[in-house]
Amino acid sequence: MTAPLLSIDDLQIRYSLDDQTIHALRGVTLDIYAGQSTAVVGESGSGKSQLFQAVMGLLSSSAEVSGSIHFANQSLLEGESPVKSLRGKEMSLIMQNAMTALNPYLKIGVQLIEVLQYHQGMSYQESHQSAINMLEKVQLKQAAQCLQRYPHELSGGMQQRVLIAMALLCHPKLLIADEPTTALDVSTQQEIVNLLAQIHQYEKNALVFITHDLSLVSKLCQRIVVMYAGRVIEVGDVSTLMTKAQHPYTQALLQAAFIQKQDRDKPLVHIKGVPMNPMEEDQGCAFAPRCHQVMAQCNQEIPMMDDSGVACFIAKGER
Amino acid sequence: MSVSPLLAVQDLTVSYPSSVGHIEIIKQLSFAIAQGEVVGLVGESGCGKSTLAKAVCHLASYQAGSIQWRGNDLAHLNPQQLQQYRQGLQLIFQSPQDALDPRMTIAQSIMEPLDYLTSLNLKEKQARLVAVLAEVGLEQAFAGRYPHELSGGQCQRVNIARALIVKPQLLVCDEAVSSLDVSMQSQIINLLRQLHYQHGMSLLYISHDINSVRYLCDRMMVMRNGQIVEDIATDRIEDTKHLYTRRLLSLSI
Ligand SMILES: Nc1ncnc2c1ncn2[C@@H]1O[C@H](COP(=O)(O)OP(=O)(O)OP(=O)(O)O)[C@@H](O)[C@H]1O
Ligand SMILES: Nc1ncnc2c1ncn2[C@@H]1O[C@H](COP(=O)(O)OP(=O)(O)OP(=O)(O)O)[C@@H](O)[C@H]1O
Ligand SMILES: [Mg+2]
Ligand SMILES: [Mg+2]
Repeated sequence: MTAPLLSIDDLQIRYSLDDQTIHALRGVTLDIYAGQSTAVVGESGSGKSQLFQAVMGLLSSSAEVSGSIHFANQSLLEGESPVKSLRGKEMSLIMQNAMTALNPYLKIGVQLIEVLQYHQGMSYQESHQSAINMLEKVQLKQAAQCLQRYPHELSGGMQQRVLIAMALLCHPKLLIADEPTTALDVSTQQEIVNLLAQIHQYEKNALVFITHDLSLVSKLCQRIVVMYAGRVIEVGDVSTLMTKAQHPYTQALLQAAFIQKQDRDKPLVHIKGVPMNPMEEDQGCAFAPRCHQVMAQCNQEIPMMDDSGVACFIAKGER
Repeated sequence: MSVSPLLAVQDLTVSYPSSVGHIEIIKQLSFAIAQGEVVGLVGESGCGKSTLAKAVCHLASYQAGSIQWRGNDLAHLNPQQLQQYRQGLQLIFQSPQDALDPRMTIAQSIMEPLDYLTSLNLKEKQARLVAVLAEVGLEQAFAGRYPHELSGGQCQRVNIARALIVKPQLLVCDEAVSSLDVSMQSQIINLLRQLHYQHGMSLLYISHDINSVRYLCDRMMVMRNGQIVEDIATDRIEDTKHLYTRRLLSLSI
């Protein structure tokens, strides 16, 4: 069997405040293989962005990180990390917030050309042409004119395409898209998802798609990773997980996802209770206080992920 | 006797300077929102929804037309009316991270509007903070933290809290729930609905999610190229004759 492209082992991220500790990630183990497309879903604040910012070496300096991350067999957390030379070249991240990811004071062209000159050592002429080609590839109309524009002169959908183009400039082996379609209209959303799917096909890269929109997942991804309170609680291929979710949180999430066509007189269904406080130490399953099927064991022991693809005592008991 | 609407926009035109001359983003656009009405606004990316939201909240200048708050033109409000308008109309911005001052703690950000819009004492302010954090599903422990220490969805909820804490009469939500997970989205939409029912709060709800607009709103306006091309009751959407509205509907199933 081939080695994974990206291998994450027991990754934990903590932040110390005056007298408290914030647990952003509580131990994530995850492998991602070349050519694979993986969706990462989960509650707001469950650690999706933190996980992949750690991979990209983009965490703030106050983060206390433990565990390991390997990319193509190179360790990213020990000693002299190669992450700076990999970032933007071998692996790219499309950030959650399009507006802040682009520099408002620089024309689009300057921002794209900079990347090419830095990583590929291209001349100005070459990189200019390359940038135009890439903007055309992401189906941006009037690509050449677009290079002369500032970010705020583009609409949300156009900015998102520019970001995708920027991430693809060096044909990375790993492309991470953090909520790339948030706040875009439905047709633009679908265009962006189709675009990512096409790119995934011809670049044959590994794709990680962080999203809260489950309706988009099956169009793009083979595999889903579900996170809750800083851990991965369920992994599976899309079709199985969408129909036979094992973890009560995943089940509840799927139910909440398909409520939209409902009676206007009734309140919308949501998962009762509050997310786990990130400042709390966990003693049992983080979802236990909100779980309908909770058992005594759930409050005493932390359920671990194993080959079954789920970290839950109830799901395991039923098998 | 007719009562003035809460908000009335007449022939509004907004343009931006650009490298190719002035571009009109909003073109002679008119609409009104009555007290207690819940109105949706949908349309393609880039059609001008956020620009319109900023203009009615006095955060972008407009070149022509008028905006009236409770029958008074924004351009001629006296200081007392201006204060009432600023408290009565709140905007939740589209990009949550940009909208918060990075140097202020979450508590400071959320309570800031209370300082210049109300005369509550510290104890009353803190009570409101506690209540509003709970409403948007944030732990009290977040109060002392800074925006960059929060996830995207957590920032968005801080923005919602900041707008709700002054108890507005009209809340303009620009993609206010789009970076939240579905369960959290439902929770916030329930909260908005409850504020509408219990306190008669009006809403201008901008969203690309037609399903949530149909659920929450009585009326939906469809915007295209800086103009409102359709204004229709949500329970009659299926009857729309408009091709563009049809397309939006067919895409959102
Ligand atoms: N610099 C920081 N300091 C302290 N805590 C942080 C910092 N950055 C993130 N966190 C915390 O880590 C947790 C995980 O955040 P993360 O951004 O990964 O969430 P997420 O799953 O991406 O959520 P969303 O869907 O809302 O974007 C959150 O509780 C957040 O408040
Ligand atoms: N400060 C500015 N200067 C020049 N053009 C601008 C500025 N702000 C917005 N625009 C342009 O105005 C148009 C409308 O933008 P606006 O943000 O209002 O659209 P929107 O309907 O909110 O789109 P989205 O659904 O993507 O948020 C876009 O084409 C945008 O590029
Ligand atoms: Mg995130
Ligand atoms: Mg907008």
